[in-house]
Amino acid sequence: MANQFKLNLLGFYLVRKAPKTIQVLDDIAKSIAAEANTRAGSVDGYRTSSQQGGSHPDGRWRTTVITATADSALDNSRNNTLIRSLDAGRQT
Amino acid sequence: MIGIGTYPAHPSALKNMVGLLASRMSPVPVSQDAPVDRPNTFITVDRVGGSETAHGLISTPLFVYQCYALTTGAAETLAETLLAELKSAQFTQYGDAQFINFSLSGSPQNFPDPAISSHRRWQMTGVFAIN
Repeated sequence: MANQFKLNLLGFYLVRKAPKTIQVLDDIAKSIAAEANTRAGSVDGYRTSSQQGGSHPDGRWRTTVITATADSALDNSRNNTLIRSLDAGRQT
Repeated sequence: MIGIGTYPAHPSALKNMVGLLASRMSPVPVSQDAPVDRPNTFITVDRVGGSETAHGLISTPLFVYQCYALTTGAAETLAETLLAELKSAQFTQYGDAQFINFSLSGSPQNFPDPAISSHRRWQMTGVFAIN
């Protein structure tokens, strides 16, 4: 008889919200935001947020980098700053 | 002994990409910068980072493609046409570059350009592996 196993979906959910997981994702987002702010010459025009998605059942942790001010939004429209900053979040 | 002593320089990805698209999208102008005398439709391309494969022989640059037209519908259509041409250009040679596979990163989206208010801009991003 074939062995059977059952996925522990709650376990996956907990791994996605584990502090080390969040730290890795936050570091990536902050690196991209820092690069974008450097390129734009702003202090915090580009900011990050970090939250877990709904448990349906994935609940993936999500970090984002946004244009938080009108100046940064204009800068991004003119210079594509966010896209040009993506490499700063690359994991080697 | 297995090893690579010297690596050849990657071909110019942006120069070859502009040339490739200019040939495939004619008569729509394709360039790195927006033309000073702006036609009704035009495309700009820029290289905005990317990487290379682990062995270092294939470059995987990230490109941003910007499609300008006088109306949103025309700009979107131009972007979709460009996307089809990019996919069709896989595994082809242009200039001194071998274009390998194309991977869409960000699909076409409306992205107004404050510097060119007379036109609508639709933008997409993608990685085109080249060696």
